[in-house]
Amino acid sequence: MGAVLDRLVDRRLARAAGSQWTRVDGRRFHARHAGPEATTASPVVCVHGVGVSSRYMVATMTELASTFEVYAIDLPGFGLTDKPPEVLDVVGLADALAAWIQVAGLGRPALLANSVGCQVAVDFAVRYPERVSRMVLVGPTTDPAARTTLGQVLRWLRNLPGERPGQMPLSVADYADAGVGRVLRTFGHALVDRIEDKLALVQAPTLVVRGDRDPIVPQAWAEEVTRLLPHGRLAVVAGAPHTVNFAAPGALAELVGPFLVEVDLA
Amino acid sequence: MVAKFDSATAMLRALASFLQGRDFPMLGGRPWAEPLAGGLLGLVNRLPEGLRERLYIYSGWSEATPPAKLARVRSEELADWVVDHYPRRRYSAVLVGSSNGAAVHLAAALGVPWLPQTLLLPVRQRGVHPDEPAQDLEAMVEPARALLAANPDLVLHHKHDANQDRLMIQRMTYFRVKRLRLGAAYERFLADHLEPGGMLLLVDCTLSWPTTKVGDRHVFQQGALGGATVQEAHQGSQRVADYLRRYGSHRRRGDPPPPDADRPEAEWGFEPAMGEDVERLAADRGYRVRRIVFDQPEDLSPLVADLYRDWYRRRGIPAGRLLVESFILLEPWLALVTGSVPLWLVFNTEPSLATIHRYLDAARPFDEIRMTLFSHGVESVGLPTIDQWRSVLHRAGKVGSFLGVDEQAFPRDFATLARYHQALARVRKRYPMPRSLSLEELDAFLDRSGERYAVDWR
Repeated sequence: MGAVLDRLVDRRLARAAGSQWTRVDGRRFHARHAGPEATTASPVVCVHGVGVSSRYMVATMTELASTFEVYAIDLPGFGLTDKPPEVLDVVGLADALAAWIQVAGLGRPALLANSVGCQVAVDFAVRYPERVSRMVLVGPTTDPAARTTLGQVLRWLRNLPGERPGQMPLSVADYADAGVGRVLRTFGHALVDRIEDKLALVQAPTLVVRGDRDPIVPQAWAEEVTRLLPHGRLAVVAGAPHTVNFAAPGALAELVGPFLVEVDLA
Repeated sequence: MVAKFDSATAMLRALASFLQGRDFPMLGGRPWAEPLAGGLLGLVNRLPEGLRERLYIYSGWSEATPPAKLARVRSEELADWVVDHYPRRRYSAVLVGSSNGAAVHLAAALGVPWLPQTLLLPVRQRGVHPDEPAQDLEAMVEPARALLAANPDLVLHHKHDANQDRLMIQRMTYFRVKRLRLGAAYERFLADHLEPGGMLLLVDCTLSWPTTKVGDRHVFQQGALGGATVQEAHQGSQRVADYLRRYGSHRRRGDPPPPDADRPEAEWGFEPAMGEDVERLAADRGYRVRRIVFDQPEDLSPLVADLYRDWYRRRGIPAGRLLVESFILLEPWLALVTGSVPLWLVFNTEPSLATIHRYLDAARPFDEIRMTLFSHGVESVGLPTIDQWRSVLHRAGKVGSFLGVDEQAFPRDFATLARYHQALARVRKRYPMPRSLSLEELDAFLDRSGERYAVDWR
């Protein structure tokens, strides 16, 4: 059934962003790609959150694709990328991202991440600083004030009614691809990943974006993330839930576009 | 008898909470009720505008005193009520005089109390149209006479501002009383709680306003400091006419009794007679007196903000957080706990917006700017839009945010009263409460940079 759903969902998405396959260390990586043929700006790589995949990034890709070359990766174990035998933790996922960026020949891209994807992006930016130009962290997890399974689940449930219903079939396809066990264990890895200890080491200019209806990332935590980043700035999207990239892609692109072409002062 | 929603009361309570080692939820309300009140008032914010306005009018009326009871007011009881707020201990200094948010932060830094000169006694009335100031005056002459006969050490400033108080004055009248003398209760408090040879800091805001003498110790003031100018309050203007038309008034300008002299502004101005009394007491008891003299209420704000910034720097705390406070939405305790530089604005109008932009033009950049924004329920003359207020937040290097403001509801955002403190209390990265600044440290700061400000220390 998962495969049928994948086909239905992906056929629609493929119109906006085509699939691209890259072999990295013997494993097939899937990414979606959209954008102009020639552009001088750094490419943008979108990094998804826990359990989901590049599918829910397509709306934002579409918004950015007139100006930027945009990729959205399926991290190993998620979406259509091959599954590694083990469940990768945040560091493992960041290493996989680094390997794919290198093999895909993307140079020094900007990263746009959502939720747990922000933890992967931050870990990547700290350990491979020469390989990232800028970052956009949309709803960065995990708030240390609720670092328990119960705390996170309650926040996730509170967030659900605010998300767009259109995300549901995508998420079902994504969870079917990843398998519930992998989703839960990845969530467990993310829970113990202390992003707050890494943020001060990020050298890339970083835009933190929060939906003002996001209970998973309260305002105080978004402000704390921004404060800890040496070159951070916070933008709040009115009326948006946790998944700003799916629920408010236009508003997100309006913030991200100018940020990505800013001249580096950092 | 004294209004809870007024500047003097809110400032008194905020400072008293600070001296008791506490923050200041809901303008002095019960801390446990804050989330509930925030939720309920959030629902109120969703009501139709007209209904919200009725609720605002009612909330003011419910605090007001029936005119017949004014004769029972005793100024010494009011003064007792004031001093009862403060912890009973010895202070190195006491502030006395004008209401001023920056002075509250100065007092908090020094760890000392402030004895207000001015209090608001809201009086119930009905049947007077907001644009008929003469009728308001006439209706209140007798109650005023009774109040003043019983209180020879008070002067009454009857204020009528159909611009910013348009809602409130539909069911109440603003009686502001200023003390001409310290009086027994304040003198007793000083005897018991000011150190021998201690310092009296006289907060002397020289702001004046054209007023009309009604009787002995009784003046009438048309308009007030805020979005409309003094001239607009008396002679009107195109934007006053537009405003009155918008609110369906039969008038196109105010029609106040003609003013006969400039006198201390009702809410912020200092009545000099009390200054003489302070000098007399100081001479009798061997206190020192220092006057902090400034023209506009906001003149003191940049000085106190920079005093805090300097203090943070000397303590090794990053001094990149700015807390912009609007009118009575202030938080001396959380300002220090969050390491925020407090910059107080007298109200939510255009001149205050200009003040904060001017301050930011001159100051080293701030990483974080947080702002409270008072809502008075009226789209009054000289009120900036929410977008204009947001422009202040855009000047932050990293984080710019309103504190508990419902941006869609401004200027009818009544939930902010219950939300601004909560939002500030959630800010992370806190610092330990420092010991109080000494008067010597204050002097050292003034020696280094006092000339820069429009404040005269005499």
